[in-house]
Amino acid sequence: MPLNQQVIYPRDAYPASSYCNWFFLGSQASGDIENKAPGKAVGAKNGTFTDGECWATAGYATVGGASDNWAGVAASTADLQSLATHTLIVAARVRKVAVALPSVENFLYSSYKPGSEYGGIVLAHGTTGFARLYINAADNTTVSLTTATNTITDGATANERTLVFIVPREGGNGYVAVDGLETVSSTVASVAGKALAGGRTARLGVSLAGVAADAHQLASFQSYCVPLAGSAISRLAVYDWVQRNPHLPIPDWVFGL
Amino acid sequence: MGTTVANVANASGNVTATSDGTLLEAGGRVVFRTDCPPNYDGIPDPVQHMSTTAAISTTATVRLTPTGTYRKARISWVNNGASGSAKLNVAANCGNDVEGLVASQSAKQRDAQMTMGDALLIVSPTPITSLNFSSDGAITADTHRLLVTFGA
Repeated sequence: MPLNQQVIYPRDAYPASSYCNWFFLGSQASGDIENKAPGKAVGAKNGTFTDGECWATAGYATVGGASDNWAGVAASTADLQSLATHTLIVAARVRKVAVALPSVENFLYSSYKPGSEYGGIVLAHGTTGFARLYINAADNTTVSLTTATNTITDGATANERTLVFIVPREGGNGYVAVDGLETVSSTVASVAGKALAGGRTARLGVSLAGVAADAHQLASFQSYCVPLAGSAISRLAVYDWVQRNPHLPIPDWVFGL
Repeated sequence: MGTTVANVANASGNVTATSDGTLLEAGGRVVFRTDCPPNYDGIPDPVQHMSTTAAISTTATVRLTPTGTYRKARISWVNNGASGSAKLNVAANCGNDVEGLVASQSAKQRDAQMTMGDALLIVSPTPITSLNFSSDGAITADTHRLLVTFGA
């Protein structure tokens, strides 16, 4: 019988990421949504958000679908470092459960409430199938990074997409990658150097206003605040890591640290 | 034939050296082979054998958890009526069984993959505390056998 030898690197062979705010892998059978970032808060399921709803599909946390299907992320974890000192990176694997386009813009993660509570981000799925990351500074300046339409779903097919958003601390352009390829760059200059921390519990699955979103499957939802200018970070290395290693937080060396 | 080697006798009697470099006890047990010393085959002592014939699939995983500290594992997947082209996904040290399901969209999360009938020796820099196995199709119980030998 042929015998091959292979060196493997299990999950615990990688050192913890120094700059990871959260890493919600979304692979569980029950319980609150585990945060793989050491010392960071779990996604605490709302009291009426059942295991059967959240963990309906192996390999994903299924959030939304009802206004009470959300998990809270404590401010100590949800608050982001200032863009005066850190570049923000947010990534996720997202799949909409139903193929239909959202009838309203769905908030999949919210750490600020537009119009009243400022400082944070919103990961959204728009009515034409785009994915969007809103970045709202504590002074209520807002920018967004948006994929092409029909990215998450086109109304006929809902694909799992791997999304990466990069917001350089120095402003200029922010970037979006879909499935490992950079697809969009657009200005984020108006939030350069600004504080992002809102000091509140964020929600996974619905908006902070409690507006229901369609059910979405989330996996590998992760965020980093990296103490480097965006221009000093190899974006392609970040995209590649996230796409190739969906179960692992981004190690420091990918950022060059 | 063998030559008696002085000063290496043990409780069983003298040790003999054969022409191929093997040292034998009086009872015939191999004490040492100069051309292939112990553990040269990649499985150091101590070892632990585990096996299963339980069903596996894209949604069902089998988890083996050795009791010792092992950094190597020899995985042998024997066919007993299942698909000869089936693929076995291996994931080490997963936090739970769901995390160990590494089929379809999670395929990049596997640590190794092998085909029915193969054997594979995996080597890990960290102790292997668990191995989760899943497959690319349904493998019903008792139509295959997974034999894993963990080695230090």
